[in-house]
Amino acid sequence: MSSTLVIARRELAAYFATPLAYVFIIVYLFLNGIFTFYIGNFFERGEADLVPFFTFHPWLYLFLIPAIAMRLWAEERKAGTIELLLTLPVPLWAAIVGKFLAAWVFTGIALALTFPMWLTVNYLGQPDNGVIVAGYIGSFLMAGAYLAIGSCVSAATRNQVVAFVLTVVVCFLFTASGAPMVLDAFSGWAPQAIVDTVASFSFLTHFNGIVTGVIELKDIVFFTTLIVAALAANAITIDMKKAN
Amino acid sequence: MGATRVRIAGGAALALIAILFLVVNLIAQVGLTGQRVDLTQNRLYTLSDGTRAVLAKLDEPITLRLFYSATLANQFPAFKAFSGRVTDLLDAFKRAGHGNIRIQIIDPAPYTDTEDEAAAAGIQGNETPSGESFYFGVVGTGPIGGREVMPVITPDREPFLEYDLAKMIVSLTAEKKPVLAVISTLPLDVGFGGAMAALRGQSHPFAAYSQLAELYDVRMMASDFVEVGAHVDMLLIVHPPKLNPQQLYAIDQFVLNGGRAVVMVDPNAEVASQMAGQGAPPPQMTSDLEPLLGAWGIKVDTTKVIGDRRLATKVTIPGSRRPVDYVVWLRVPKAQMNHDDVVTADLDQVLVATPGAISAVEGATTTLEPLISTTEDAMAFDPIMLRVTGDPQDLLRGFEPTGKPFTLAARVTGPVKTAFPDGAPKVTEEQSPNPTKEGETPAFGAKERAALKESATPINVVVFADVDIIDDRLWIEEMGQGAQRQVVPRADNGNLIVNAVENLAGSSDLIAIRSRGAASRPFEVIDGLKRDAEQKFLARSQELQAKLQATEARIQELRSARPGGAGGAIVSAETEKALAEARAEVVATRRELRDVQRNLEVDIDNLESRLRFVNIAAMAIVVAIVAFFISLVRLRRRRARRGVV
Repeated sequence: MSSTLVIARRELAAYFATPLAYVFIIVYLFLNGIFTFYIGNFFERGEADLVPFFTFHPWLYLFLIPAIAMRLWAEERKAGTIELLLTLPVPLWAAIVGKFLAAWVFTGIALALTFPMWLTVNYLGQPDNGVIVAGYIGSFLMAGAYLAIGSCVSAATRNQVVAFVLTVVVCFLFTASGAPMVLDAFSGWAPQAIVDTVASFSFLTHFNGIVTGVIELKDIVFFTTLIVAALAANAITIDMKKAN
Repeated sequence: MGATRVRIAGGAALALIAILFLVVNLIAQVGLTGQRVDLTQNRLYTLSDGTRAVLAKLDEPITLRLFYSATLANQFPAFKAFSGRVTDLLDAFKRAGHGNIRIQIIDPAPYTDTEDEAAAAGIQGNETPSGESFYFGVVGTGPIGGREVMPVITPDREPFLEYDLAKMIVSLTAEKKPVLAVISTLPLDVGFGGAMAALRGQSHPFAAYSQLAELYDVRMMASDFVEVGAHVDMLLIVHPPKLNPQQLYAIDQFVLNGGRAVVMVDPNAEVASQMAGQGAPPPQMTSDLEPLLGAWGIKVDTTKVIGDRRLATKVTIPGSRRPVDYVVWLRVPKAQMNHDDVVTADLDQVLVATPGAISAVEGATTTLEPLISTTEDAMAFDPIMLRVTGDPQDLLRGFEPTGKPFTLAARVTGPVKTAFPDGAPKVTEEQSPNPTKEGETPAFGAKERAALKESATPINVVVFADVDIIDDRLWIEEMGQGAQRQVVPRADNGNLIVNAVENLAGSSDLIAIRSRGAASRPFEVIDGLKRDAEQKFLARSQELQAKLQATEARIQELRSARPGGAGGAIVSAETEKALAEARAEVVATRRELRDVQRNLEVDIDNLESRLRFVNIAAMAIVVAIVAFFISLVRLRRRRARRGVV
């Protein structure tokens, strides 16, 4: 456990050693604001809640998180440091979880820096802060799921660009499967049970549920099993590559 | 060889993980419904205990069919969110109903059989801009063939949706109409003309009574009643006569046994004056229900009539052309009614005449929750004053507001003790046509129930300190005669009384269902700015309009002063100059008016752009500055290190 934390701390510190981390956070904050105010019509809606803010998170993460995740393993592989890492006296899973946790905490920091948004709605009206807390929890969980997928994909290639594109594709499948237009395409001919099943594997379905202020156990199960499964797949992929 | 084996094993492991993930989530999807944490402030997604109790008591299935034009709803995004709340709530009902609640969601698409079905079920179609009918309503069908319809669900009713649905379920399972017993000196059932006039079609029941009779099995109690039978579900006491001890004891026991009552008493019941007739005894103008009210922890002072300057109704009096404020006839707006209580939440206006005030008695064990209150600009009068003076202005002249609001109607809940601690009172022949006989223990009102010293369950009583609320003259207008007669309400008095009875008629589970806060949480700061700006704009624009009119009038005047009238050709240079000045002034005023209008939103725009900046750029800039400094420090450190080396 402690080796996981050591790796996580070292990785997290490494993020902030390069300007990349700051650029990421700045882009994230900036896009969040633009989406909320201009596309989400924050003022025109006139409601003291963070719905226009959270609505765009799945789509924002779709492109920003793969950018963080792509270098998790592909970089080590390309630079050849992966062999070094694997010879260290730490178990493979500790390295995987440590790297993942560092990246997750990093996105958590970026998310936390959106707090002026929360202050804003509290200044303008009387929002339901419970719902907002749920929204942040949901957003953080979803970021973890995107990251875990990205980490797994990154382990499969030494090319960061390939890792990025593949992650976007996989994550897009997980996101879009809950989008109304995709479901509409199904609902014309497939039985409702199939439509529901497709929707139940979407980030959107679970995230939108949490954003209303209700955290359902099945949402938590979905995100955690997805993270665990992706990280397990991550370990297997590294093992397979090692054999090569 | 080894690599291939690893690849096969790895592939199998990956496939296993994927399958495990799928299976676990498929099971979770079905098996884990309802395990949730509700973080919303008003526990929006959690059913109240009252609803749960109602649903737990079901032993036969009830079907709730939601007719919702889902395809048309795409045109109304705001409505879609609301419909999500409704389906969520229905879902919660279904879960709590343990198989006894069936939910069907039907989309009555235009020009289909389902649309006809919706219309036939009594769902109200609303025309959309595209000319199709939009349906959003619920039909409930019960096990014994009962049917209840909510023709339309509107977002403003959202706080009470759970209550409405639970009520629907309760009435679907009820086997008969509840019995409402009425104790009153007023001829609520036949009207003032009396039974004979009613037979000739010349008199008619009170409108509120007719409304109640549609919903309940209403029975007027004879004036010499001695007990409230076990078949009675509720009591409505309106301007009661002087009741004898045994009758009071009967009511006392009824309420202690969990019976519910709506009580209307009045220090000055104007409606009773219609009872006056030749040879008839003078009408009873005052009513109370002591000692029962005292035992319930409240007091209605019959020596005080409440007036409110801000709520006063305008009346025209002979000899005066202008209508004047009559401070004891009150037009009570929505703002003075309790928004959180289902009895008053939906009402817009109630008209009240010469009401009394309800106050809590010291040491009361009950809770008094005001339903209708006056403003702070109110005071109490002696009812004698009203009878002496004929001039409303006298009341207005002597008006000294007490600075605190009076409660005109209230809900009283909580545990109470009997008003008859010594048991059933013995009554004499003088007091009652059914006197207590020698050696007999009076057991009036307790024949079918055990005599109680204190309430079995907390009592729930709604008290009005005004009887005139029920007076047709106050709140309805009648049009037509005989069969053509139509009653058009001017205020919600009838609904107020029906709501009070209806809420109390429900099981205690139903009463316990709380309302939820409204879903809308507006930007109060922006709304405030808007109001301020509008107020400013209104004042300034009125000023400018007046100026504009004055100038235009001057132009007219100057024109007509021209020699030879408006069309005159010869104009003095002076007049011409004055005209030009006036015209310039008109242009300037118009421009100013436009500026005022344009500046209306300037404060809001400024605030919005400030907040936009803070949220879009400010934090990003802070992060950039921090990054810059950190890199600066690092660079310096590195240089220093290099310098050392």
